[in-house]
Amino acid sequence: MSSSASALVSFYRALTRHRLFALLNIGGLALGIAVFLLLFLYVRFETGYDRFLPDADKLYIVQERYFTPGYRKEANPYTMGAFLDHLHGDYPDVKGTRYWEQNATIHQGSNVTDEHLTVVDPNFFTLFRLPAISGDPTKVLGDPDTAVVTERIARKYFGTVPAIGRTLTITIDGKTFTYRVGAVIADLPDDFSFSADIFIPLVRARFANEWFDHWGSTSLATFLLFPDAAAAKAFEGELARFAERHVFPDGNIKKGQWQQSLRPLVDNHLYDPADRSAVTTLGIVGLLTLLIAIVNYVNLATARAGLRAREVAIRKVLGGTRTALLRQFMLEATATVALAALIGLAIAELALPLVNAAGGMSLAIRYAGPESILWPLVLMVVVVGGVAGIYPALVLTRFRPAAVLASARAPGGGRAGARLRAALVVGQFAIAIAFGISTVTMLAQAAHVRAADLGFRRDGLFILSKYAWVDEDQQPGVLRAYAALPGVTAVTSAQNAPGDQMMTNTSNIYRAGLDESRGRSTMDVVVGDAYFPTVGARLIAGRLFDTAHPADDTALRQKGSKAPYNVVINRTAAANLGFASPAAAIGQSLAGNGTMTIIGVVDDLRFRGPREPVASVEYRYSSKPFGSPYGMVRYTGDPAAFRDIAEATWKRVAPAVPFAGRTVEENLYQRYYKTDKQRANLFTIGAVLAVLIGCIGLYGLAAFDTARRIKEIGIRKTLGASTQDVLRLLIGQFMRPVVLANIVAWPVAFVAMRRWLGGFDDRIALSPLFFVAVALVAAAIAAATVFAQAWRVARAEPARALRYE
Amino acid sequence: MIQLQDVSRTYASDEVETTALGGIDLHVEGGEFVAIMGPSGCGKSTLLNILGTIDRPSGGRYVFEGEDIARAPEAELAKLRRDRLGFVFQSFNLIDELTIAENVALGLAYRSMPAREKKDRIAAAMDRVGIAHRQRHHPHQLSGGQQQRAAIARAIVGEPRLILADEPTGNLDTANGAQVMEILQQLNAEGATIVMVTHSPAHADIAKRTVHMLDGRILASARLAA
Repeated sequence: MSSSASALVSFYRALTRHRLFALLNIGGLALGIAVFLLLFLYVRFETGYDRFLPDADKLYIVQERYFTPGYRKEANPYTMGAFLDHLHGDYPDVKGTRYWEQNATIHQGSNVTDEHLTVVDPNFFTLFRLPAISGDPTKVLGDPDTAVVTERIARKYFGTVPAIGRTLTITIDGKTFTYRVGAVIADLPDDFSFSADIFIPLVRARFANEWFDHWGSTSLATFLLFPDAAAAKAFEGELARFAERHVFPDGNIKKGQWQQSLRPLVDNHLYDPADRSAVTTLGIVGLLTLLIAIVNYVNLATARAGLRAREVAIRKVLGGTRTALLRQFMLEATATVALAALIGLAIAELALPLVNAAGGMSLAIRYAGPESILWPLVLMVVVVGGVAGIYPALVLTRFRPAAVLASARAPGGGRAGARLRAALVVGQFAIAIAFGISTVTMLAQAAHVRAADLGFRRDGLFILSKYAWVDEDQQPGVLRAYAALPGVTAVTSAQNAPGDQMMTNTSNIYRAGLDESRGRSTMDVVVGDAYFPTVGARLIAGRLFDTAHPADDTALRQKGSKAPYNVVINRTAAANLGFASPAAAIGQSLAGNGTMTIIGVVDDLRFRGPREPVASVEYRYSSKPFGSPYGMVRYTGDPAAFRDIAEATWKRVAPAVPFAGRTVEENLYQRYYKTDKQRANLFTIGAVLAVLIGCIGLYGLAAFDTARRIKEIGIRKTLGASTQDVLRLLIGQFMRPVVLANIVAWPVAFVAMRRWLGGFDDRIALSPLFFVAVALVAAAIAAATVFAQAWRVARAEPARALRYE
Repeated sequence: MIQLQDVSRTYASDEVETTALGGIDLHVEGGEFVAIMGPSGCGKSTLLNILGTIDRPSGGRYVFEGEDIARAPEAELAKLRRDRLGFVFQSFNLIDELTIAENVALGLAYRSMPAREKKDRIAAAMDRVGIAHRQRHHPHQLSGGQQQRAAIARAIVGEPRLILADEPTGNLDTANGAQVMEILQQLNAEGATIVMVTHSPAHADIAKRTVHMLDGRILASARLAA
């Protein structure tokens, strides 16, 4: 038998002879690897957005940042509609293209459906080289009546018949056009930042609106193509000079308040720091879980080193060199990891649908192609095998044959080995406890977000999302139809709804008589009849809009009138504008968007997510239809039943517009809570499994340690120790690392969770209770893990233990 | 002090039932020094383990100081061992991870008494067997004789009424063996009852009575003329 064959035989024997250890070792590793693989897929997906495009790293989005008090500081990736046209005036050679999503409905006879449609420059597909199925998308958009569609659209509207040359009747913003399909492209992948299915050429005469040449407006995405990052960087300087020449002289935006810069397309998906840190965190969870599993391997392998000392000694006596033995044990570690990796892969495959459901993803494990899991897996086996194998191999091969063979007893890993094991267990538990505290905090915050007071009544409120698509003269009729439904108590329309806002107008508003520079960026929201009663807002000072006061209704104003009109502001606006109390604001005048008189202050309505602070808002009332409205209906009874009634009613009164509507709870969840919830789900799954793997390791270590101490326990019992004394000794020994782990984990979890909660404007306090509860649970889990082992030996007859050698 | 009546001990494995002890009757008075002799495997150690309550008889009665403890609950037996018994083993059974002083202290670890008194008694026990100067060492750093004396210190630190010694000199050379026997003799003279398993006729002679065993039974009990 060759030496490597005999090494394999002893590996196999070591596995089968100590089944429990093999099971714990390989099982723990496999679970760790499964968690790691799934989170690896997730991180790769999230960080790989848009990279499938051939020129992904050459494309940049023009982003704009405002520097005005009270306005959000984050750069937004939109520009004025005609920005690229103006830019080409000065820089004719710059390659760029635009992407402008539109509300569109497709008509097929009497059937109306809505699709994701975007207006793009004809050169769009030369910059975004999306794979074509038929036709040439780079050429056909020169014709203003030609569309490029995805395969999904082609199949949906034309079935198996070739789509090229067929027509689609499309209504955009109330105007209807006929487009001929010029090319079909493959469906867009999930990891593309944009999700349009129909692309039509940007024709200025057809789509430009009043804002198209208005500096400071943010209508569409403008992309520029540069050969490399240095060229892009250099061009940012040109953008600043361009603004000096054209933007600031225009007078709409002041110098120092506005800046354009370039955002690499590949950074776009995780541009928000909250998103980036969430993805990083989940990546760290994957790595740490794998680390816990590696620690298990090292612990169990070194703990059991003594049991194999004799084999090492004999091999050395027979002429085995230390190098050969090192190779044997490293090979064993790698073989173990490889076996665990295969099982881990199987677990990952089985768990993938569940994880996809919990995380709202559509990850897939691929075995072929550039995204094949096999190479990362092989790399991981080699790295983990090396990391996990090296220390046990060094310990095992260090045994001196004479000493081992002469001694009746098997040597342990030594004092240093025991100390290392203790340190590793502390490390494992620290990670587990920090995970635990984080999980509890995230779940508590998620629960808070779902139940918190948002300043309005979130139950029983239904949003008609496509109310704006209904012709203005028909809008009041739609609301009347809903008001007439049984169970409906109030209806309204407004430019914002919980979770929805198409148009955001902000102006610098200041108190009349004070300097303009003392103003705050304030959002202007036009509301219809009964807005505040319908949403359930709380009036905290003054009064609400009332049709009895003509100055309340901006629809009654003459165009160009300088007369003051009445507004209701929110609590934040009252504070930001410097009023001592909400009541002090009543009757005061504001300037910055005409002259306004404050008639009421309402409590803050948190219509956006928990992460965003509530903005200063000034509400004005219009009895006539206005731009970009949503319909809202307050109803009583079952939400699902009402949804059906709402849809049936819509089809009756607004058949030309596809129905879209949902409850406020659903809308807020989809818009703002879902991502955090899904990430919390993934984190929880990772954390629970990390704790489980840690427990597997602890169980193995306890089993080993208890077996090693059977004789000692026999002696103690002979000296009069009771079963409880022994249990206390054995369990207490494993409590020490748990206590130490808490000391390590608490500050880490505290800092991490404070930062995480810092990302929320509406957040819970970081309660000490979370820490104490998790520490107690960790102690209980550790005690329970060790208990089964300790109970068995503590109960055994001492005479039997003393015979044990 | 001790009364065994028809005590038996059988070990059952999957295939066979082995009888280690069958129908043992033994009476030990307080203050006696009894040696048990017999060939390997005759049940000496099993008998000693049963006397020490670290093994349970399969049948029969075991009366210790007037109380039948053959089926007493484990907690009660632990208390009995703690307060009234001392053990000395052939292989010393010291705990490697603990120092000599800590090993001796184990003899009092499960009793509640003032820390001061514990300390004094531990020091006295180590003095008594001449091991005090090695108290900070670990067992493996000591010779066999020193280890056994440490084990005796651990056995007597609790001032037991009955000392059970299982071949206490079995792993020792003649000189060390003699030293250990001397200590046991002194303890007996001071009033401790001793039951000792031995292979050495010379050491058996030091006891006041010798019990001979064969195949799990007592052959004869010979009392030495005083």
